[in-house]
This record gives sequence, C-alpha cells and structure tokens, in this order.
Amino acid sequence: MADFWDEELPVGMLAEGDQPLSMEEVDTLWSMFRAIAIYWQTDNIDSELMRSRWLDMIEARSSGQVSFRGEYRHAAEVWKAMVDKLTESGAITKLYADTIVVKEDQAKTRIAHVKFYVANDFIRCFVATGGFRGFVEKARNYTGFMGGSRYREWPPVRTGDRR
Amino acid sequence: MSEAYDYVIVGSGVAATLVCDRLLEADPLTSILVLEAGERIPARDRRSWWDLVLAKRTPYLFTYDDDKAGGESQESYSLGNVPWTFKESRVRAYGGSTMHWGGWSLRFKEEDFECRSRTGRGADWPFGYATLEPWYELAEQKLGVGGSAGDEGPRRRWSYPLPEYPWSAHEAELAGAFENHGLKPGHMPIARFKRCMTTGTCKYCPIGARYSAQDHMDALLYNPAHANFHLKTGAPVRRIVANRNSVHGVEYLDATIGDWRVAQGEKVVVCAGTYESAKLLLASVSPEWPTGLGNRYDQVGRHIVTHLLFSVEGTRKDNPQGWFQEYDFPTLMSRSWDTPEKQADGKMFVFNNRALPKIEFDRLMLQGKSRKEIDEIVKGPRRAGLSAFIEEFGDPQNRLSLAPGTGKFGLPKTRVSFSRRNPSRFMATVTSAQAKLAECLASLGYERNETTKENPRGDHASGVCRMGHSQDSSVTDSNLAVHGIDNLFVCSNAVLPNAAAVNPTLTLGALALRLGSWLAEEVR
Repeated sequence: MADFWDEELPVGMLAEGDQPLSMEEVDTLWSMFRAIAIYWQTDNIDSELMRSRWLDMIEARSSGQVSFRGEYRHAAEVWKAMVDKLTESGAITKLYADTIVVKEDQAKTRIAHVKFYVANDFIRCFVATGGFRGFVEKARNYTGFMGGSRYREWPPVRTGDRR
Repeated sequence: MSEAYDYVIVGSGVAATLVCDRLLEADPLTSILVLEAGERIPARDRRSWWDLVLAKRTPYLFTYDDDKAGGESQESYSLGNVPWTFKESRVRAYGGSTMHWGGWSLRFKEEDFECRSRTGRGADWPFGYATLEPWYELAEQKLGVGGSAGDEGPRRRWSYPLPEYPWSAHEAELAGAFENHGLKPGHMPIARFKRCMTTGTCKYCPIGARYSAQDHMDALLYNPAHANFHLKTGAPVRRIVANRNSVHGVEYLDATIGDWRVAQGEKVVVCAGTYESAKLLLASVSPEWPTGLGNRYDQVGRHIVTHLLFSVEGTRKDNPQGWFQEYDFPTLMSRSWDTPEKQADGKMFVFNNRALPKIEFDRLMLQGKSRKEIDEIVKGPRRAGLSAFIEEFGDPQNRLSLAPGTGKFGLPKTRVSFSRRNPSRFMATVTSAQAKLAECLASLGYERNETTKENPRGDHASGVCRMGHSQDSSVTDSNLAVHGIDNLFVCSNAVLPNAAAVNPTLTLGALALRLGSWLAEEVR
C-alpha cells in the first residue's frame, strides 16, 4: 500500500475550504519552512527572523481570487504524516532532495502537490526574506528583500563606490 | 454632477497628473474631469506583491497590448521592414505606465533641442533647453529623483533632490573599465522617494517608493480642497467634439449608464500616451477636420520613433566574491556617447544590465541542487552585461495610424508602420558600439558570448504629434496647443520632436508642469 504522501491527487489547486488555518497547522507549516535552512545548511541564518514575513505571505496567499489555503492545509497534513513515519530528517530529505516538481502538470501525487504549490513558494520566500545570505554571507540584498535602510549611511548592497 | 468643466483631461498617467497638480495649485477649485480608459490597479497590495515575488506575475498584465494572435488580428500590429514591438510596453490603467516603469529620470541635453540644425536629421524643438530647465528642476522634485549633480548631463543649477544610489561592487568594477575605455561612469538618476527599501521589485513597489502617478493623482483627488476635481475610470474617449477651430469637449463611455455621453470642457488636454493621443486626434473627424483634428497637413501619426536597445554579455571563469544582482535595477550609466559629436549617427545612452551577474538561489534549490552544488555555482562562471539605447530620427514615412476595429478598453486598434531607409548604416553604428562595450567587458576578463539588438519597442515611442512652429511639419506648437485649434492640447510623449538617447519620462514631466502652469496663468 502506498504511503499517504505518494497517493495520487489530480493536478489543480485544492479548494480552500471555509475554515482559516489553525495554529497547529500554521506551526506544522512553519516547521516545513524551517527545514529549508536545515537542508541547505544555511547555519548563519536565523529562520525565526523570517517568521513575520513568512506569516504575511501565508496570509496574503490565503486570500484573493486564487487562495492557497486548501494547499496549505493539505501540506500540513502531508508533512505531519511524513515526519511521523520518516522522522524530521527523513521528511526533509524526502521533500527537498527527492521530490522535484517544477511544472504544474507534474503535481499528480500528494507530495508533488505539496512541493509545487507550497514548498516551492516557501523556498522562494526563504531566499527573498534573507536566506540568500546563507549562501553568500557578505551579501546584503536580493530581489524581494527589504534591503534598503532609512539611514542612507548604510548602503543596501555590497558596494565599491569609488568616490 | 455637471458635465461641464474648465478642463477635460484624457488619460491619467504622469502627464495628466502633473498638469492637474499645477492647475489645482494655482486654483484648488478648478473644475477638472480626468477620463481614464483603463481600471484602477490596487497599489501597495500585499497579495499582488507576493504574487510578483513568488510567481513573477504583476496585477496589470491584462492591460498590455495583445501580442499572441499574430498579424493584423492583434489589437496592435506593425508593418514595414522593421518589426515594432508592443509587448509589455505600456500599462493602460489609472496611473498609466508609471505603474510599471523603472523610474529612470534623465534630462535631455542641450543639443537634443537643436537636432535638425546640428545634424540635418530629425527636428528642432520650438524652444531650447533653457526654456525647459526650470521645469526639469520642478519635475525632479515632484518625482523625487535621486542622482549625482557631478555626473555627466546638461547644465543644471541645483543638485538633485535626493542623493544617488551607490554602485554595487560589481558596478564599481565596471565603472573602472568604463574609465579606461573613454566612458565616464555615472549614477542612474531614479525617481524614488526617501523610503525606498531597494527590494528590486520596482515593477510593483510594495511601499509606493518608486514614483507612481496613481499615488500622486490620488493625493490630488482626495484632497478636500479640490472640490471640483473628478476622475472616472473605465471611461474610454472615442472622439473630441469640435466645431471649426475650437473644441467643446469629448465623447466618452460612461460606465454608470453604459452609454456614450459628452463631457464639455473649456479646454481639452490629451494626455493619453503616444499611441492613443494620435489615434484620438485621427478619430475626431468633422466637416472642418475631415482627416482628424490638427491633421490638415497629414502630420498626425507621422515621424513615430523610439529607442532601439542593444546589449553585449560576457562570461568570466569565476566569481570568487560571489557577486550577484543585489539591486535588480541599474545604478551605473554613462552619457559619454550622448554628445553632440555622436548626434549625427544617433546618440547612445549606456547602462549596466541590472539582471547580471545572475544567481537565482531559489531556482537552483527548486531544481534540487545541493548545498555543495550551489556553492560551486556561486563561485563558478560569472556573467556581466552592458546595454544601450540608441537614438533614431523621425521619418515622415514612419507612422502610426488607426487600424480597423476595437481592442481592449474600447480603444481603437493600433497600426505602426516603421522602416529604416539606411538600415546597414544604422546597424553598423550599433555593431561598432557593441564591439566597444565588449572591449570594456573583456578588460575585466569577460569573454564576449552574446550580443542582442531588440526590435523597437513602444515604451519610448514618440513624435506622432510633434511640436514645431509650422503646421505643415508638426502638430502642436510650443505651448502644446494643436495647430489651428484654440483650446486643444496634447501632453504626452507624442509631442517630442526627437527621441534623444534617454528615457523620456522626466522630459514629459517637465513639459506637463510647464503646460499646467501656463494654462493656469492664462486663466489669471
């Protein structure tokens, strides 16, 4: 019998449902997000500093004409099942190393849904909210990062201004 | 609400906004109706911004010209020996193309106002740089332009309102190469306010830092002192109502009643962008003006011109510093080829390719690259690029016209016919410039491996209602009034006699402030 996360699921976003995400679901999704830093060994990054921006993303993407809330709820369920059976380390490897889904028509199983509709966006959010510094420590800015400062003495980028 | 106004203004972009700004500054009770064919795109919307960051999708995508159908079934199409690109070149919505622009704000130079006298090509403006200089100053303040007064450019009395952005480390290295190759490096003047957080998502700024006409117009609209100032969206204008040598107003689609109606105006100002300004004049036929308003000498729509963008890219073997696109907008530029000496063959404006060196960490992670693999890619080959705009000259054979049928937002379809008389001479200039830029890159170890020349794009299209003294070779006079009509004005890139080498928005802003002030003074 296939593991829960390998069960087939049609391509296309899941219905959002009536209820907002519970705190438990949000915390489960947060652990899935924090796993990004663990897998890619960005040890100098404190993921906790990203939480408010990440929550902003979750909330924004749970509203509007195309709501991701159904996918978020499903992702929390799948991630919990993976962690329960594989341990966190195993779940991290399964999701971020073994499951590559870059086109929507590949999202045909539960885990592929999680990867395409949720985890891929978590990765983009991770990078844009400061995760890029985990790869290049001295880097200061990236597309989507609130890098500028209201104090103009602090350059928003690595500079070499010759004046 | 009365449908009779002091001013009816068509369009709601930067030109309309700055005209209104001056009129209302002079008299807050001026009655104005602004008619915008497009809709309001919510600004500073969190969901829209996250969609841009995560999915590279903007909320105004649907306002762009359709370019999928191909040929004459598209809403905008081109003829001639040079394809003209409409793709993603204008936003048809409240706020106009400032909803998606990068904010590059450069003044034209003194010689740009005397192009024909100096080169025998293009056209002279009906006034010189000195006339527009004080309006450039005001436009830089209104748009919040940051730049360095010590950089190359036309003469200026005052510094920029805001300081320049420092070059990134990569750009500083390129700046050194510029100097060694006869290009003086400068800092791109950009219309961003103090609160810019350099997110690089300027196409949809999450905090309204990059100047947007929508923000500015909203501030005017919601000022309780401006009791007679009104704006309607979803209100395309299909003709200007004229009788002999004056206009009475415009006929527009009123969405509240679903029918066409006339808004009367003592004066009508067309701020509808290059394409729609000319098309509206052409569509406004009457017994006195059988080929369109201001078109007695068949000048409306002619001389369309824009900038060609060309680039060179190169790759060097390693990237030990791990540089990548930290700004996502260019801050390095040079105007050393934007000079009188270069004018006869087309001046050029050089700038860094903002997207390079490119490392997309998220894309590598989505592809399943391990930490070790990503580290190798970061330190591996590094790409760099330099780009430039080159000036072209208005040619009466090149024209914009009405195409049969209606496109989005109830606007008539667009047809552009564009050809070059001496394409080999023009391309030789471009190729020679590309070779010099490649030498710059080569001096830093970048091996040239790509050069591109884009087809002309509509972003900087101009010339189709150009200013001039004589109505047999121009459409508008030095005050932007349509020749032969007392109370009709055009204020868009359409009126520029020359494209010069740089982005036109600051120049348009200066013209709009000048027009608005002149109109207000006339009333007094």
